[in-house]
Amino acid sequence: MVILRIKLNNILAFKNFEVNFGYSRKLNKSLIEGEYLKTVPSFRYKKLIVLIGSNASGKTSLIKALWRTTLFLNNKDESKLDDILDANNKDDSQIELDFANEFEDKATLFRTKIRITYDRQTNARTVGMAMYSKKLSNGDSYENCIEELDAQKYDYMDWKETLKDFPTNFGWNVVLPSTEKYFDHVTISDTNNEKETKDYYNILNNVMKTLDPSIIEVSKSLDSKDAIAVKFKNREPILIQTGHLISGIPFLSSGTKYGIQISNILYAIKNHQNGLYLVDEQFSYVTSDIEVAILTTMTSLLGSEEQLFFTTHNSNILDLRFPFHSFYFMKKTMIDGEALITISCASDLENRNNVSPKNMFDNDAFAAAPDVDKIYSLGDKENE
Amino acid sequence: MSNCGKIHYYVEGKCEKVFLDEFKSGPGAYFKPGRVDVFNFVNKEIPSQRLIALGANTTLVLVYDVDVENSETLDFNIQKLKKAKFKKIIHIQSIRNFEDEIVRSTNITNINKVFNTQSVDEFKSFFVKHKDIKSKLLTFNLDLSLFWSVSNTNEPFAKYSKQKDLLFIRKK
Repeated sequence: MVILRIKLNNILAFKNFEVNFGYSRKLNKSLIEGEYLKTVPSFRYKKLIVLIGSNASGKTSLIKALWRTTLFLNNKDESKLDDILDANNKDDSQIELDFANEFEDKATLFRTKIRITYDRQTNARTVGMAMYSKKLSNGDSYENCIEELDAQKYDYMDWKETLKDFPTNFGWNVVLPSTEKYFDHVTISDTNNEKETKDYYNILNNVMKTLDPSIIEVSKSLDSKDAIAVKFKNREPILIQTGHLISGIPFLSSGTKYGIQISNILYAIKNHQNGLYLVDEQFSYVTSDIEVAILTTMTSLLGSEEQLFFTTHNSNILDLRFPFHSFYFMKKTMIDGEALITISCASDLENRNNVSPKNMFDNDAFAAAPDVDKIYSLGDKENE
Repeated sequence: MSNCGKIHYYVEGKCEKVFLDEFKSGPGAYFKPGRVDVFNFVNKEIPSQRLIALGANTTLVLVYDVDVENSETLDFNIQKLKKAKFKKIIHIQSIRNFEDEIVRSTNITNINKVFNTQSVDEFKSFFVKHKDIKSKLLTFNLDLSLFWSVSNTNEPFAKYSKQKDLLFIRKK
């Protein structure tokens, strides 16, 4: 599953928010390979989306909106939308999602419209839904399909009716800081074969040893189920076991605690397990160089019909030689007491080879810099 | 935009910040991009914590009004900036203030006609809260080439006024 566009209104903090992840111009010099559907090479999409923005600018909210919407579509379960709807706000909400899916060597483009309304008397919620799909063929691009998508008449029905025949052959993998309770979850089990197990532990060892050079080996625990043993130089080994909070384990640095989760997603991408990967701020405690190495490796491992959304505060990522169109900048501004989240793509503003997105970001060319005046004013003379 | 180092604007008030943020970014931006902070160099001494965060390769652009008599605080601040050694210090003087610049570069004759306000303070309040100030000003035929385009010849601020500074902030 690849996301081409999402439109959100009254979802989390989003009001009339829209963002597009397709791209029309073929890039000959891009270092990201295969940014198109394997079955329809003319159909281009962005494999990597890096979301950059200040605190509370909507990055995590966008990841959540994508996650919960795809979860709703896949599980056909209305309650999956609960987390992105404000229980105290009974104004109507809308989600519009354009996405493409490849199945058995056939690609299909979907536009789905979800409308959440409330009965004014009883507050009862109704989720209405409309969907249009188009089989893609050679020569099709997202851009030349938009007119057809726009021209359709979308009749809203009960979501169960709309999703009755919807194929749920896609998957996703999401990692949020709020999912720390899963940081001890080792995703390999006895049902995996020897090659998979070896591959998993190879990734886990490389990641954990990079995060903490005093680790000499990470291996499957021989004594406990669903657990790994981490051996250190000159120190007793520790056991990380699924269900036992990693935050309670001494000796592991803040960054190293993210190692298992980072390894899990690297393993998933390497083995093309999911398709849509949503990685939200897993690197707050991780050195910039390591974040860069992991992001570039994840990107190089992405296959056809796969897409990685990656949020970060690290502006050094902008120095990487990804295409301009990979970088998105989010900003929240207060207008008349109302928060407005906006997003812009670097390629909307600049696309020349001799220009650095990092330099543009440092100069706030995307108008996404936080207003730090209130912090500085604490040290101004009149406040002393 | 070429890779010409960092630019940091210090503007006198919120209106200038809103104005610059609007016209320094997005397709068709007219002014060079840079971070914009509100700090009035003419009436407040610049504290060190604000300067420590700026790299030596930064060009400082000071935007201020010249509708006051005294330049002592500005003179003091300039000496402090020179000691801190920045790449360049650029002076952009609003003649005589931001509202006059708006009037000069649009087809209005009185600043209160922009929002049908009763006072300059009320105009400023409307200006900083407006959802799309770019479109609003363009309805009054805003000509950005006229904005911050006049060199100041009146002391005590004329000593900092240079025509090339006015050209510096414009995108080539």
